[in-house]
Amino acid sequence: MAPIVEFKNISKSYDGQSFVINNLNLDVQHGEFLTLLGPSGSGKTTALMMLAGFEAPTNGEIFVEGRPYSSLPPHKRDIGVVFQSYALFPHMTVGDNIAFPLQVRGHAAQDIGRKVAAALDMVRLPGVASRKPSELSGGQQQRVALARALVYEPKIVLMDEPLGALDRQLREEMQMEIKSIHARVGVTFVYVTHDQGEALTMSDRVAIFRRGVIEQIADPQTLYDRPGNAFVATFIGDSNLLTGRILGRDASRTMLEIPGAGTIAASAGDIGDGNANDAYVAIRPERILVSRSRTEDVGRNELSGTIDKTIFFGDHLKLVIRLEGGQLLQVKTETAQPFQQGQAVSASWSPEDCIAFTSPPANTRDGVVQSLKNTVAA
Amino acid sequence: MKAGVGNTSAQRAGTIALRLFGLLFCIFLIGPILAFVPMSFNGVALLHYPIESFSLRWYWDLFSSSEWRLAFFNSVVVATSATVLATALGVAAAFGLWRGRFRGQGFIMILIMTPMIVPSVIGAVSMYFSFAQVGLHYTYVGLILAHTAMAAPIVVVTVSAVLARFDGNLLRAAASMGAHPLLAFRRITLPLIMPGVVSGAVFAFAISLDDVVVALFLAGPDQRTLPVQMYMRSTDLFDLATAAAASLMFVVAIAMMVFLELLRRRDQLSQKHSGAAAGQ
Repeated sequence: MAPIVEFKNISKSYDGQSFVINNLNLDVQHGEFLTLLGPSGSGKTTALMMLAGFEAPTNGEIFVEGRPYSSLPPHKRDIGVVFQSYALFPHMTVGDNIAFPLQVRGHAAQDIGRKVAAALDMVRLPGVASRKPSELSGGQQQRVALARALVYEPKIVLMDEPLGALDRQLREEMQMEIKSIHARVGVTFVYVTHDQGEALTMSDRVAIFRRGVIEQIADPQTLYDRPGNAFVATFIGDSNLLTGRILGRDASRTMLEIPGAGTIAASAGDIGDGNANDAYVAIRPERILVSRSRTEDVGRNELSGTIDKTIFFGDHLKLVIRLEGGQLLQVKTETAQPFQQGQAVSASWSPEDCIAFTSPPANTRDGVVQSLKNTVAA
Repeated sequence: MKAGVGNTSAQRAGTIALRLFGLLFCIFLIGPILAFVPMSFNGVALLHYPIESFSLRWYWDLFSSSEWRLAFFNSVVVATSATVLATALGVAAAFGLWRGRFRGQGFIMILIMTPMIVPSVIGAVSMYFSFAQVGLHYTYVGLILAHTAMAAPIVVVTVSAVLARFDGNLLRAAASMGAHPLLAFRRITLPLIMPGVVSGAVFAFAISLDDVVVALFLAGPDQRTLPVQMYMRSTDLFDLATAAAASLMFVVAIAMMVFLELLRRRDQLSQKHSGAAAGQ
């Protein structure tokens, strides 16, 4: 089936010089839950606002169901929007808020009453129709906003950091709720967030934005296991990033030297793109095995080091290992592991679990490459 | 402890002094007006105390004289029309300035404010000459337009103040639900900025009702408003009908202030309410 939304060569600039969105091409499939994820200022919200019609692209065209949409005013687009600030009409009751889009569309009064009640049932808030939005909690208000955006069955529902104003526990509850509503109604959802955990739990696909371009678009599992570059590797979940030198490469494997520590094999990330010699190797902390003595398993990468720190997290233990040569490696292990600071250990992992990249992850300006910063600072 | 007690009594003395000052200042402000009001009940046409006999004859004169009746009528017609026009224009201007992103916004704001800043006699003279060119002097239309220009800035000010707290996402939400901008303005914006619109309208009405200078220039004998009539009568054959008219206007002014205060309290109450709920 053809995609419901197509961004074709979309650029957006507010000042005519710098681009907030730079030559964006993006397809949204019918019925999918697509999340635009990225640090603030990466252009994800601008992309959403252009789809809603609140901003016009500087270049390019947005197609919805094959129709060019760029010059269509927002009220003719049939796209629902949920805002972080809820944007409920404070002078109307909850029921009137949800009835508003139906009244605008000229639905019959008895239809409106039935649909409003059904929408409130859907977000599990029956019986609040006669209350004012200000009498509800933040989470309840966002449920009402969701009901209001869905009640007129728009083609697409856009959500701009809808859970950003809620506390952690409520946020996780609402994530499940939104996900299950999406599964029930089957409408296309485009969701914007800067919270990678939220993106991974809720989405069918995630588009990673950075500085106005999409770094990678894929399902959460692929993003986590096979990040396309060092930025994605560090932005999604925790990742160790070792620096090394490329010794040799073939179609699938790259041999690298980690200075002072030894030689490892890694699967090739964006290595094929150039002939640079410096590389970054991304390894997930939970994929590393730590043992007291070397395993000498030829199928695995194995580097020696000493325990620099052990940090207790309740459900797991974080070990920071200072490898020979000085680089730091974070490892997630079970809490039962009896490791002590200063102890000599061996860290091993499968070549499939590490990926080598040549392009650097990010400028520190982005302020998001948490694990890399930890590693360097520690 | 002793210092604390001394401090308290000094504070108390300060509070008493402040209250006394406040009271004296109020007397200074409204004393002359309040002193004038009882004279309108004087049975004799003398502008001094003591009042010789209580009478409503001046009020009777006021309502029986065709000249005064016309002045009342003119004031109501002119002030009402100018208020309606100034409110419509002021709301539109404030909304446009709030919503738009364009160059020269500050300049436009200053331009709108000029009738409020320029001394009224200058405005009156220049309007007199320019209106005379197009035959608008000594007409209702001319006077209403002049008062509209004088009153619109205050509407822009009061409406801009409420728009500053208005969440623009409400209009985006309305648009996404299919509401045409005009419908969204009527159903969403207007009800929410209504306190500013109403207080702007009350001030606009007061400005028009209050004006002597511009009306002196622009009003012919047929358009003479109440303040002009009062001014004319106090400069030639003075009678206490002027005092009676002044007393009535004073009552109207107080009623408008009370209305505005009630409106402000209601607005504050609803804000406090929504603020408290959002904090939960």
